[in-house]
Amino acid sequence: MRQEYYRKSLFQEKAKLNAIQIEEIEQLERKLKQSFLKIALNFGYLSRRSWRETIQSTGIELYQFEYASLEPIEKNKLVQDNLHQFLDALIFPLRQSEDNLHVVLSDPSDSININRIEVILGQKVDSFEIAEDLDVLKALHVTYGAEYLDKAVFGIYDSDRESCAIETFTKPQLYFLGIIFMIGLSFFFFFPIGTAITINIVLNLLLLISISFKFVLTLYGSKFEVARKINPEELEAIDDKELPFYTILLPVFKESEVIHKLVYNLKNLDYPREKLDIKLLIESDDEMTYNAVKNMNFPCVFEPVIIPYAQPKTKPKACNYGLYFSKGKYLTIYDAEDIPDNNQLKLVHTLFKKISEEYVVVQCALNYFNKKENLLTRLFTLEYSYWFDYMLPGLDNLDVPIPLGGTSNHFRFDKLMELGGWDGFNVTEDADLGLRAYAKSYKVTVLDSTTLEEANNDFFNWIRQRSRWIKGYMQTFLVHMRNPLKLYKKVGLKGFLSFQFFIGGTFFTFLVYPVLLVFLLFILFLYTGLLDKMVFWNDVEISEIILGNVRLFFPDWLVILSVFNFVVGNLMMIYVNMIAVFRRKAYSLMLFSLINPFYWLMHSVSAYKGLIQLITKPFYWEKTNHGLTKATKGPVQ
Amino acid sequence: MKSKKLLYFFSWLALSSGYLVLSYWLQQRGFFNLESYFIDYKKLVTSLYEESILRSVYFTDPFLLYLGSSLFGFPKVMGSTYFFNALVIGGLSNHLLYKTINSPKIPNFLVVYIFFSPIIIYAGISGGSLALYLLFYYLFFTLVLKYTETYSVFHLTLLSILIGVFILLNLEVLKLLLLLIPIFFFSSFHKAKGISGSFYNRASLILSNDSQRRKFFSSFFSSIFVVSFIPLMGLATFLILNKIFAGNTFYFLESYGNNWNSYSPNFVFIKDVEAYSPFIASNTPFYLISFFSVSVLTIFQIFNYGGAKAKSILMLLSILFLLSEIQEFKIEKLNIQYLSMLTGAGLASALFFRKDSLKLNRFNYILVSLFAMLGMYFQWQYFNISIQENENLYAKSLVEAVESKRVNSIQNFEQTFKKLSPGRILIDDAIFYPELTTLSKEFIWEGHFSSSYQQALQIPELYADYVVMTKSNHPLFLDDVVATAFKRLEMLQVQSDLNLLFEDDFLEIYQINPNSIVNK
Repeated sequence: MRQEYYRKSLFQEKAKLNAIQIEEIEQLERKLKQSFLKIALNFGYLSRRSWRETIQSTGIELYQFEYASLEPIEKNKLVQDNLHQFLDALIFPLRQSEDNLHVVLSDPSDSININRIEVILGQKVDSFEIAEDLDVLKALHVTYGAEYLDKAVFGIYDSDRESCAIETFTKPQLYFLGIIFMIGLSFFFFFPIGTAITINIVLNLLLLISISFKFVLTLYGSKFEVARKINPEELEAIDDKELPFYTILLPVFKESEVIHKLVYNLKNLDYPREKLDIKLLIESDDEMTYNAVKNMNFPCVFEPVIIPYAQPKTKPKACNYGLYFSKGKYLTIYDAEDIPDNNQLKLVHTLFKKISEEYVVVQCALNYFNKKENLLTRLFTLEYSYWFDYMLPGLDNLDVPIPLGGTSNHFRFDKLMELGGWDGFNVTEDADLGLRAYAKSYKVTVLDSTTLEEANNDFFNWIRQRSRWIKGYMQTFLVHMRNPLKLYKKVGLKGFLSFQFFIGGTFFTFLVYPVLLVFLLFILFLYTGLLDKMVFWNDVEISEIILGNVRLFFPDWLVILSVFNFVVGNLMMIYVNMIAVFRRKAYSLMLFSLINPFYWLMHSVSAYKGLIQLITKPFYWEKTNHGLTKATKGPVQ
Repeated sequence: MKSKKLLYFFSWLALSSGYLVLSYWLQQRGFFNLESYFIDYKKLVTSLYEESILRSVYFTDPFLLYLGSSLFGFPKVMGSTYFFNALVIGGLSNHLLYKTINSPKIPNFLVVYIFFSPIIIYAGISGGSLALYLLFYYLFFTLVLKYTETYSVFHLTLLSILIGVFILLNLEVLKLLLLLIPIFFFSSFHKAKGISGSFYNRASLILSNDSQRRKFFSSFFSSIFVVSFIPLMGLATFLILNKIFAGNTFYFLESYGNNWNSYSPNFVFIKDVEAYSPFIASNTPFYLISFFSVSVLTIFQIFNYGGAKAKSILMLLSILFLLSEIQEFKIEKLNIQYLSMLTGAGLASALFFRKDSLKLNRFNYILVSLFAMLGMYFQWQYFNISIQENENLYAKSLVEAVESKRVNSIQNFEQTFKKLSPGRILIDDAIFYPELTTLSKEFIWEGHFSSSYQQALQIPELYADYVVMTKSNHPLFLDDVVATAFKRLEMLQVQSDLNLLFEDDFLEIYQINPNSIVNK
């Protein structure tokens, strides 16, 4: 026999919700068609811990799932087809036979949803167990989410195999690289001096062009810095009623420390709460975050989505899975520790209304709240400032493909689905998506609204993160260069060149930079004659002898070219860093731009790590640890 | 859109062609410019000797003119700098023309000024560095004025790049950073957020509040840092190159090669000093005549600021800045290259800056036109009274054909060597660089850049077939190292077996008897 429970008794008397809150939740229940409990837990009325205590205080023993042994019921097709309704109802059908239906549910007083499930399954619920909502959600996702999971992982592969990074090097690419290598080797064998000089010139010139391109982009981006896309009056004129549903995806992995900050930051968003569809994407094997959410002793403002286990365990896969449970007209991604400008969503909505339909993504600027924590965070802030404040606006103004940043990219949801979401095998899925959008004649634009993130403050953590980014750029480059002619036809000459210099040029410069630098420093060291002073016991001028041999391969004019190249290249990068923080009025950081060349060397270390990983484990997602900062939000203007 | 771009491009070409034709016509009437020969000679020797590239970098002043002219290779028809100048000034006047025509805030009469200003014309036809100076000053003042309107990093960056590039024209452009300091100081008051009201209100609020004061000074010093970064780092790079490849940080200033520039046309010949004396004497205000005759439009702009006070202040600052510079170094700076700063400033302010709210009325239009006319007239007078030979020659050759001994001498040199069999020449190329640009490729010469120059001066018979020396009429007679070397040999009673082939007012061409070394 089913025992009867009453909402008033559970929520008002035991969980201590007041009448007004109950009424608010009921209004939302009708509007959003979600269960009462789900709204109470996900819209900031009731904490999960207090709900658990409420249930336990009535003498109920909470059901514990054995996830490994969960089996779909006989009518599994019905559950799969109506998975959203089961998720909204927080009911998991545990056992079902012709004459018996045993379910696990979270709110025993929710007769409406129990009835709804009975209608779907075509039979009465005979008995039930009670479990926490997260456990029910997890059970539903891992048991019935396989179809969505498959789409999340292989969506791009199935729909557009050529754009999927599942295959790192294609056969023609391998042949091409092999032929280039063999030609180079034979030239070096027959004309060693000429070949060495040519290689040096080519590498130097490519380095200079790549850096100059970024400098020009920065300059071009700065040209429009005073133009605001949305003015305050337009923002003022927005009526909350006209605002559409907005989905925010929050992919997390082992980030239990930042969950409480996340809730705080999300609560500050200036957007009607009932129109926010915030999804916290938790990997099913991430017990740490799972338990942190479960044990939260204050109300949440997000809905957890449990991602069933599957390889590759990447952020794009999690986001793709989250897409199938999203309902916003627009969708954005934030990291757990992000602090977006509180009016960012409204700004994006206004911008989307102003611009044409071909614009499918709006990228907001990213910056850091812990910029003054240590040297690394300062350098990171310099880099992000010029990247998001000048480089991306520069690309935007040139109307060429924009590689999206990791977070704060706002999509038109329908167009995102049309594009097939993110490539689960690409570790910089965001950059890849920006290019795919452009290739399909869609456009990306940038908006002068900032999201503050946590800058990596640990060297090794930084190397891990950066190696993933650079590896991702290599993956993206290889994917889109499988058929250069096709790419050229899709994006035009301007887009093609910017792709070469911006995506290709980025990892190329990091890989080449240390090689050329070490060699150049060695030659300059010989020129100064310091070696002779160091070898003071020997009268022979060793540096001259070595220089004599080196000059064969690197004559003076080539050394001058290299010195010029390096000095000018480094100065350009220092300068763009400097002006970016100048614009943000972070004047104290300006002098730190002078040590940017060392920061570049760190990039080079990451680039080589990324290159090795590209060959050995291309889809491996180097996890960046968040929540390491001790800093609190410091205002960046 | 495309047709507009094409029209813009063709009008640029047409204007440039106009300058080029005018330049050619003037050259037929006796106009010449040593600076043009100097640059063409530097281009010639760049690939001649082993270390020429480095030395060209170190010792070519103005290097930017050298770089720009390197794109053109028609020295036989006309010096490459003439082409470069025509293109630069063609581009600038075309740009100004379009601005004037398209903006209702700018009096159309300024078109006449752009077409007929003697300074702009001289910049377009002279084959010297004035075109680059004028371009620089115009861009500099335009950017500064734009910055005072927008306070944007973009304009600061462009300013920095501009100064950074133009230090290759003249290191002294770095001094203009000083001019920017008061501009940044006052504009930092306006950059402060959340404070409104008059300048005095802002200033008192900012300076009386700790946090605002800190931000104010940070912004002020950072602005200076941002602008000066590229020029100073550019200079540092140049010094590093000096240190690494020549062993001395100030090699470009201190080495013997520096003498090269002392004969270049930017400096006054000793013989001209007498003509300068009334202007350079410390207690005479004569130099002010030249100064004010090119600054009429700029002075007018101080009062015609169109609601933008920054414009008025900047014009005043520029006049005071240049006045102090010229008063200090009259010999080097009382020339059109430096004075064009006021032309650039005047153009920048006259053509761009007027607040939208202030409409151009008829009286204003007439005033601007009147002062533009006056400006042109005084500019013309400047060239007439100019103590710089070349500037004066420009004015003279416009009125009538002029006979020049130097040009004749260059032609004589060319004709003589055309008749001689190919060989090696011992010559002071710091003096005879114009002549050397006329030689056919079969001739080679021992000059300042060749590694065996010193030896050739000791034993000419071993190193040369011909010798060229100045005569006492030549303004650089005392500086001729070849003539000096022969005199020294004579004093040491080492007889040289020379056979005079040609002489005119300025030079002597000898053939060295090939058997003389055997006889010794």
